[in-house]
Amino acid sequence: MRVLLINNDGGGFADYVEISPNTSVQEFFRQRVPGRQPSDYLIRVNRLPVAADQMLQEGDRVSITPTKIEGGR
Amino acid sequence: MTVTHSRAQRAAAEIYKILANGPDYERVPPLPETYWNACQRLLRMQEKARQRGWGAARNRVERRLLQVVADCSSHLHTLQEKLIETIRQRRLLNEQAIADDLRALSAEFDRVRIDLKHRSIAVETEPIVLQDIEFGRFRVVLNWISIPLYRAYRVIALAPHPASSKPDVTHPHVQEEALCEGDGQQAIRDALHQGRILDFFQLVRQILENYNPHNPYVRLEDWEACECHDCSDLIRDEGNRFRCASCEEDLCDACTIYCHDCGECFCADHSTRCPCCNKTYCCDCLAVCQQCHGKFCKECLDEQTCPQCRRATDEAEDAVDDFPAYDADGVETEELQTAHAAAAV
Repeated sequence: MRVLLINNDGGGFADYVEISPNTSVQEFFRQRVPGRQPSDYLIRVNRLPVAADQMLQEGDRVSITPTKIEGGR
Repeated sequence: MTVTHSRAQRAAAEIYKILANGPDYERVPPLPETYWNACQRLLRMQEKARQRGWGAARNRVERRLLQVVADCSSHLHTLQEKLIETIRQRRLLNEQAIADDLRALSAEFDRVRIDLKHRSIAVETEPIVLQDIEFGRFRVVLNWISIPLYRAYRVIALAPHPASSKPDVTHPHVQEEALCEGDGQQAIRDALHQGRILDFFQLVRQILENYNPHNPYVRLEDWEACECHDCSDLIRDEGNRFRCASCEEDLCDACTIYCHDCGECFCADHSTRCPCCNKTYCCDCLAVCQQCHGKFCKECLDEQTCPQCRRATDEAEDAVDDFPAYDADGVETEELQTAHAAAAV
């Protein structure tokens, strides 16, 4: 099935990605942002905060935004 | 504050319309026709030189052709990159998705306002605290009509606690209501151009909630430090901070000048030295010599006359005493008249 992934980390991108059914939000995060801690990101599904074990559905919109973004001058 | 359905829908329609047109800088550059035409002309020349057996001319033309082909290829490559970037950025949400984003703002931010008249969306952050320094709440105002331009939003401190040395810096990464996006620049730009308004406000908030010690407008450790009016150095220690009694500007220890008369502190502009004793005084504590009109400290003036003028007067008076007063006829001598005149001056 397909979900829309919006990754606001670094350069950022938004694209549809294929995932297997019964993929939890936590599992999806591990696949897409390997080696990072979920606590360092705002993870929203269909614009709302969700539990880590929530299963993703076809057409879901998942956005991943780092909590620590360094500004400049 | 909840965003009403109709308001979100109307704003989303306008935002979509603006974004669908795309910003001017996204326009694809023209094809390199000039280079292409030059290639064709050089090819004809090369063929002509070949047919006539002009070896030297043929070599020259081919070298030139190689250069023009490279230029043409470079322009095409730039065009290709621009197209890739434009397509990547222009994954625009549809009107309904933008409206959903606007309605979701209420779940992320305490105060949300969509102003249809001024075409703006404003949200308020929680109070920002960085390393125990309180910066208060910030209002982020996005003018959607300006999204295709460079600066479409302002970051306004609602209870400003600006840096002591720079009143227009209200956050280590905000100056004159403009956020320096740093690492978030590309993500913010993409979010805005794709109509992901919720992501945009989240990204701005996350930058405000963080501090990058390597690149701030003012470092947090210098936040309360003020700038010396005279040397521009930061005064970090309150014990080394002085204030000019005349203009009330801040001064560091090294630049503070004490008046030897009134004992107050002054800056370089409002203090001077007595030209006689060379001690420092404020401008008000110096007095004017009645004769030369120079400014001297009161200690150096004697009967409102500076020592130099005093000496000159004394010498002139002594000269009057030294000259013979009258000639044999009882008339003032010429030397005496001159000395009198000098003494008078």
